[in-house]
Amino acid sequence: MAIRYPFYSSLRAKASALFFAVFVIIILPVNYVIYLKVQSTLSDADTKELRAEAEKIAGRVTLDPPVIPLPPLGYSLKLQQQRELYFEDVFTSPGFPSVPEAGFLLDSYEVDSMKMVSLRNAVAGSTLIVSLARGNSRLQEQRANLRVYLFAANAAAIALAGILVFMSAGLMLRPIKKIIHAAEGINASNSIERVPIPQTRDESRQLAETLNNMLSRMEASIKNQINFFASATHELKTPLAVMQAELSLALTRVTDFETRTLLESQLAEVQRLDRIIHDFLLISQLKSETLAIRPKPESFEEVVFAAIKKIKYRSQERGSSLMVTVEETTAASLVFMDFDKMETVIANLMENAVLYSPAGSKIEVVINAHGVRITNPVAGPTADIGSLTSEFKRSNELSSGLGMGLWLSDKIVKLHHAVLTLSETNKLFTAEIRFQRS
Amino acid sequence: MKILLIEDEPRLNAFLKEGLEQNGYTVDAVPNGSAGLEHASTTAYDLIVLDIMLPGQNGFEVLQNMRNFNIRVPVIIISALNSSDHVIQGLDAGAVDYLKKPFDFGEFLARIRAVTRKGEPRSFTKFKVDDLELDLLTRKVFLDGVEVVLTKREFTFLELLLTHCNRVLSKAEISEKVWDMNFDGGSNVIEVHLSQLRRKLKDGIIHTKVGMGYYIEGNLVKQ
Repeated sequence: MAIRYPFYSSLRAKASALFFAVFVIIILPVNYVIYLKVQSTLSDADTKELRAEAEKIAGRVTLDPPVIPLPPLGYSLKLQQQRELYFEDVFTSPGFPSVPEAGFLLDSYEVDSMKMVSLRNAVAGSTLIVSLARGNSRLQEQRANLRVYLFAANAAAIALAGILVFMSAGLMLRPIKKIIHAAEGINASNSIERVPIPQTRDESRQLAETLNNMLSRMEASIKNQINFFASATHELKTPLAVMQAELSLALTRVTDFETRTLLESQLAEVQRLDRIIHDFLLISQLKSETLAIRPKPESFEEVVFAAIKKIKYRSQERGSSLMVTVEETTAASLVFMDFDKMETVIANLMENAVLYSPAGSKIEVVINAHGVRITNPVAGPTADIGSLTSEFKRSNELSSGLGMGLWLSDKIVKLHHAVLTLSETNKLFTAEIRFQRS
Repeated sequence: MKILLIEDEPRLNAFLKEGLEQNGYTVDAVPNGSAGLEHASTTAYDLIVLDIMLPGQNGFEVLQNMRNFNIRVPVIIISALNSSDHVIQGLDAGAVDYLKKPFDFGEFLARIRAVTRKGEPRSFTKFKVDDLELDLLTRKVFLDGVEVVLTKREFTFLELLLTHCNRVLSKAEISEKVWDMNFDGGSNVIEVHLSQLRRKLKDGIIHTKVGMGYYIEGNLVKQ
């Protein structure tokens, strides 16, 4: 199962966030400074233009005889004569803004929606102050336009660069994505496919090559393990095969009850050993994650009958009877499962039922459309039933067995995406395997 | 019937040979694949019993070589390798059956009988009672000329009833021959399969003799 992380923790999202941070910390302040500079330049140019007009007018003003030129349309003129600290108005155009006296001492002054410049000329023991004002809406408009352009440019730059960063990060990470996708399909129990090598000369190629080298080593190790399991199975089971062949052959020849009982008892032990070895090998494979489940449509009934044969001598020895019932709707229905593994599970559960029920008990095996249910009587309550599927857990510390059968069964059942439940009511112990029907 | 046994474990080899001979088979037993191939290519056998983990060539290679040499004798694999992968590999390589070690000698004999029965030129391959027809070669069943799809067990069950037409078969006999086991009283396996069969066929074909068993009645035509 592939692990999925939230998008915000992806490299792509991180690259986009980094870009955004750089933009906010560096580009935005720089743009703001530029905006202030441009605004100041615009204001200076406007002032210069107004001053030039004021100089033209000032050049034509005389007090004796008094000549006061008309300012251009949209301009207002004010003439003052300053004697020491006193200001005397000489002329004021209608609409000239109200400006405090200090304002006339400045080169330029903005008031309300107007801008004013003042020129000072010395005239016969006094100073003639020529002040020209005009509306500054053009300047305000230019400033507003500048703000809009800068905002739009910044927003567009963020959006475009963000998209480009996001896309280029995606493009750069595509080989990594392919590697992840290929790696997700790798299963230790199957032949290991190599991840694709990107046609680039960057770190993603280096990563893919390193990963493939590692997979080669892993594959060799898994092959060794599989070969070991095959050899171990052969070496452990061959003596049992000899014993079982010898005993079952002998059983066909003898007729007296005592010898038959002895042979059947030996056969039960052989079957028990066979199952222990089988379980050990499965446990080893589970632990090394090399256990392969090969599900095919199988009949639960057939699996149950195969499992019954596995514990035939054991149940005979204990005098147990296995009563198999099939629910009507179940016959001919198939479930996707690995026959061999599920046979092991059911044989384990049945063997437990035989071992932990009083001798001569009747064990009920019910096959239904969802799975199988095995019920057997027990002498007393089973302690800590919920932990029976834990490793090395036995219902009774003095009982025989490794305490691995139910753990193994539970693991195999889970690998089939099914559920094994154990319960006990009224001295009846029930183990049930339930498959999800699609 | 002549059987070639290829098994490297001397004791198992000896027991199987002895057991088979006691059951009326003629057996040549060899300890490795090369000897097995040599025997198989020079002697006509009815069946080959082949182990997988053999010294030198393994059983799969031996089987492949046999097929390459056009030796078409049915092969039963006996092996301690009991994973589904090995069973599939063996059957795909051309074996007709795969028996996992350790096995019961009785089951071994039953498998041999089943395999050799298939190879035998049977005198009859089609059984017909009224409108019900069963074909052993195609494993198909027809009722009124229309094919009825049966599971493996249902087919075997019907085959047993048809080939023993007009004879009441007890539940014990049916469970022994169809399921290779004896069901304890209270088990409904036979009834459920019988009910399925009756549902798929029409009523009145399979009869019940209360307390005794089941039977098909009619005029059996064998072809």
